[in-house]
Amino acid sequence: MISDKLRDRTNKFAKEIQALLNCTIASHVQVKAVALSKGDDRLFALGHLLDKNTMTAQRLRLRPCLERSELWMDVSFQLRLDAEREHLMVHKSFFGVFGGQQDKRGLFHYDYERDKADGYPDAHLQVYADSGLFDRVNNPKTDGGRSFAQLHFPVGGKRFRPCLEDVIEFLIVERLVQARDDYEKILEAGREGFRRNQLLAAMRRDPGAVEMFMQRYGIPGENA
Amino acid sequence: MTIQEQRTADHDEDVVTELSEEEFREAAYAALDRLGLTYTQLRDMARRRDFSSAQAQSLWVTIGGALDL
Repeated sequence: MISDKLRDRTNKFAKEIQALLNCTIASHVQVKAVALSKGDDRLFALGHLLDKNTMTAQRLRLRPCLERSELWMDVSFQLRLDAEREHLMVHKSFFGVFGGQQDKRGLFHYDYERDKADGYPDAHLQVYADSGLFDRVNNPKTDGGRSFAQLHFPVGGKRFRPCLEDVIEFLIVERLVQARDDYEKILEAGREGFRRNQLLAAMRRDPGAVEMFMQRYGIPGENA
Repeated sequence: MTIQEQRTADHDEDVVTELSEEEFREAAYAALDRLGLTYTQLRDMARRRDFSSAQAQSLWVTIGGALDL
């Protein structure tokens, strides 16, 4: 069973994502979540209008700068408890931009899957594009038929990966989508929160580095 | 929707639907059926990071690992 605390934290996360999207580049986004408990593990899947009938986030419509064109965005998250079963963390995420609601390929997507064991970067970018140069350097004996769009560009790993705010900002500053007034403040506040959470998680995982930092900068410890 | 309207709409609404293991499994298999995939195929795509569609990748984010729990 999902505890009230975990439910509250998931509701808060969902509302932050929803507000971020509705206050910057989208309208009428409703982030919903389905939750699963098994043993001491907990899983939450979140996305626009995600429920047990869809089990996937529905794409949200953006407003392209160029009239009479369409852009849609998929924003999906899976949250899980950490190994200590204390903190809720993003276990998987997917931010993709597409030309249609049902298109199988689009412009690009950012994909994150925590602690993948197969050599691919946990956080990566894939661009739905072709490259003549890549086609010339790709070895057909080992990777025949592989396209440029199948390359996984690393983007900072689990701690320093781009956040949703970065992707939204990219779409705005590259003049692909229209933004709401004062979007900058919303993005900056969200990004600040994301980076602080990442920093706290990194500190939690590396107390030796925290101690080294405190010694180097003469910061008194708890027992000083 | 203005920022204020958004904040008002967000207030205190519970958006989490808890599913039993059986309900989750049933919903996940229905979603896989809609894409014409089995869970094994989806898991293999995830292992290779080579999904047949963005929809399959999005579904992996939602259910990936859940049926192995």
